[in-house]
Amino acid sequence: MENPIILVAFIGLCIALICVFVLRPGITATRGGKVMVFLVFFVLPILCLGAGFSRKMDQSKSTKFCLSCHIMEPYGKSLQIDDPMHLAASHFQNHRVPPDLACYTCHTNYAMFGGMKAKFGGLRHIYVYYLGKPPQPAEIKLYEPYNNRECLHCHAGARSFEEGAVHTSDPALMAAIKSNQTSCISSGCHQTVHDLATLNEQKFWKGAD
Amino acid sequence: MATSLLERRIQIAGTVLLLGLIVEVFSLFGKGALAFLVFAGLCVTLIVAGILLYLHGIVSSAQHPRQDAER
Repeated sequence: MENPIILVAFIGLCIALICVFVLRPGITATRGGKVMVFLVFFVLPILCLGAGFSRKMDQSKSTKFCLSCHIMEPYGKSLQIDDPMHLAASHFQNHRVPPDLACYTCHTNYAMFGGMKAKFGGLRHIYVYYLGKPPQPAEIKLYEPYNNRECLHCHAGARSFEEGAVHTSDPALMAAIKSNQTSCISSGCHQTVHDLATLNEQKFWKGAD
Repeated sequence: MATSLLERRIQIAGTVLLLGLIVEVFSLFGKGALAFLVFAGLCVTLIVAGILLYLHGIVSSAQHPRQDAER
């Protein structure tokens, strides 16, 4: 259910039916009433919960959702840096990743059950943010070193990557990149990702009209 | 009008389910992490509790039908 109005209307119907049984529980004395109460108290709430869960899971992939935590604000700002050497900014501004799903697209895990792993990572973020001691934005570290697999999910097979002058300059380099032995974001390559240290000195792109 | 034990339990389960569904409606309009937390923490707990209370009500009334009828 993409449209929340439809889901809200469905939940509203469920609420109205539950109200009928709460106000007039005597209806359940008949056989038909027992069947109805099972539908209204068991089947419909599970459907409402499932639809709501699906919607919340979709929302949790959005850039807006990730940036709703105060400590993520500098990371959101780094997406607007007006410098093509900044990896995250150039991907975001040139729509190499969907702008609405910018964080999730690069920070999910493209291995088996990777999406689920990313969700659990997100739950951990929320736990730390609301119930733990959140670090300063500049001190935030990835749980694991960034895996080239996430870059290659889009770039593998792309001409600009496969035939790139630097990538093909050393025959061993391409194999090392594809096997994750040489990191894409290691020093000398695409090392500037979210550069929070120089954020105050940067110029920012105002966005498309 | 006297209500049977099953009917009373249905009323309690229904009230818990109503609370859960109302919380779900409000959480659906929020797009931030807090709305997600309210959905995952409060709404899921209330709806699952309501369903379990209802199931417990019908199972226990089936186990003690006479006691339920006397009430």
